[in-house]
Amino acid sequence: MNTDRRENLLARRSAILAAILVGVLFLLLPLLAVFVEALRRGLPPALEAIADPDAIASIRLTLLVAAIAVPVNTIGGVAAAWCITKFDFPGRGAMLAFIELPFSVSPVISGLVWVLLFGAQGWFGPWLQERDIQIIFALPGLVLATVFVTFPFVARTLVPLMQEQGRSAEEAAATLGASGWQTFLRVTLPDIRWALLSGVLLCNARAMGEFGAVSVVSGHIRGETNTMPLHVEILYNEYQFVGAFAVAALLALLALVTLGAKAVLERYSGMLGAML
Amino acid sequence: MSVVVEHLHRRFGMAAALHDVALVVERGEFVALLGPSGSGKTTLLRILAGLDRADAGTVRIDGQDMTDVPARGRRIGFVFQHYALFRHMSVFENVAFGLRVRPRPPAEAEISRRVMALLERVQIADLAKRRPDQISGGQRQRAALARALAIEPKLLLLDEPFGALDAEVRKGLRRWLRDLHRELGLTSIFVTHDQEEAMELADRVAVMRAGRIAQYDTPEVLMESPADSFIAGFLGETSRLQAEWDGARLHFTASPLPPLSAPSLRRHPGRPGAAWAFVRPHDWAVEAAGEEGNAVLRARHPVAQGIRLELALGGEVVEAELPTTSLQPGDRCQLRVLAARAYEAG
Repeated sequence: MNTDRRENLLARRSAILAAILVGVLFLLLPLLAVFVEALRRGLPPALEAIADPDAIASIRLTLLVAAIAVPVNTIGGVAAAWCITKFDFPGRGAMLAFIELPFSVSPVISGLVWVLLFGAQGWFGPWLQERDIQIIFALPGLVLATVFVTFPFVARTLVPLMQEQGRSAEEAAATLGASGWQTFLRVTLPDIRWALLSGVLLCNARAMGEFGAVSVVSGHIRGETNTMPLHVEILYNEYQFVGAFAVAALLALLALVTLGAKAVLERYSGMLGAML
Repeated sequence: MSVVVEHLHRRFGMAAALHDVALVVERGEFVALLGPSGSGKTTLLRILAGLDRADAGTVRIDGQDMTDVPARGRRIGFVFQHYALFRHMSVFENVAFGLRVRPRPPAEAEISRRVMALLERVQIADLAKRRPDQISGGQRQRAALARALAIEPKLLLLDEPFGALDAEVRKGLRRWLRDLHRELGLTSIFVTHDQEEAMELADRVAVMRAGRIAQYDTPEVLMESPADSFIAGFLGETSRLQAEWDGARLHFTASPLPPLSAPSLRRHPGRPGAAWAFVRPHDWAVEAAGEEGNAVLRARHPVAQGIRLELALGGEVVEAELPTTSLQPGDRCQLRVLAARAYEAG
């Protein structure tokens, strides 16, 4: 009995220790390395690298792409989750599986499909060229690739919650005379707002950090189609380590702020909910 | 507000949830839909509210065909089984919802006046600022009712209104709901699986079985002359015994009981053959007996009107009720049936 308990305790302690070790080794250490490398020669060279016109252009582009992709996926994700959880229609299960497609497909393919569709040799390439519309190697391509990759975040956060909440509140609203839109704004949205915010923040973190799909459609034109992750890669390949890590550190910082905001929201959502 | 339902059909995949259901509810009536789970009673209620659609058949309310009227256009109050209160809103806002979503909502002062009047009517005015998760089940029930009444419904539908409450609260709320129904002159239909609840509250009870209405009558008629063996078994705490009807006497085929002649039967089968006999607890005669007794007392416990006895009779266990008895568990006794209802088997 006594030895049992001691063994149990030992097992639990080693499991916790292993988890901490893995966390430090594989999550914390690399992140730390980014900041250490960025500041290896002190703060001024790092700031200088960020102030470089190409770096500024990449930061601006990243924020622009996220500013378009995140709202698009917020609306699309909410609409998809609403349809799947509040209505019965043929193909509902298929749609649920379909939402996760971008998670399971390699980002390279997520980029390549757009090149196949809209590239010079793609299905719609000639048609677009005649009309002088540039999608691949330009902003629209970057946005399309990012939207595709980050689509699941909002929908996947909402679906389990909305499934658990059921449909009776919406049905009650209908019997009380509310229209579909009134029901959404007054009943559904307030019930999912915290989950929605958390999904939007995750979507944003990924939209800013996406590399693979964006790399395929970008064309790597400096100062024009390079997002922050692509800019980091170029600097690194050119042995400009301080610059590469400085921009990387900024990108990591953006992601950390996003995650921090999400954690704070989750922690205080109950309290805030009671206040509002 | 009258409700007329005709030839209503509803299927879910292969299973028929409703099969050729007809129901007439008169203005001011309080009607119960009573049946075991899966009998289609909630489906019928949801179709009336417009929350589900019928595959065939019509629902007319005050003569108007409701087929193409969406739920939000029906002005039918619906109280959900688990209340479905809006969890992020205060009790006040829950009740005000139906007024606020109107195309032309009343002025704020008017909303406030009407909501507070409703909350006073359901006796929870002091809870107006609370959220649904901060009040008890019985209070939630009242809040849900006030919310449904806020739209001044022509018809009130309640799905298992007392299902989630404990026995004490349930009893009080039942009486209160019946009084409210009368005071407000409502027409109400409620779903329940509790026959006592249906009998106590309703003017008429529709007993449902496997998607059909098996019998629709007043509680008195239902208790006195159930239409078939399912209803007889479902209503009241009866013992069911295998029997054989020969046209003049009912013979008990599986229990060591003397046969019953026609005058002792409240109802007898239409034609001779296998039958089921239903015996109510107070329709047994129990006498102390020696070794030759046909039954053994298994257990006894006091009830409101006397002593409830659990007796082993042949291979069966039956329940009898006596004003008083000195029999103790293990004692042998002689059982006789004083009165029974018999139905053709099958």
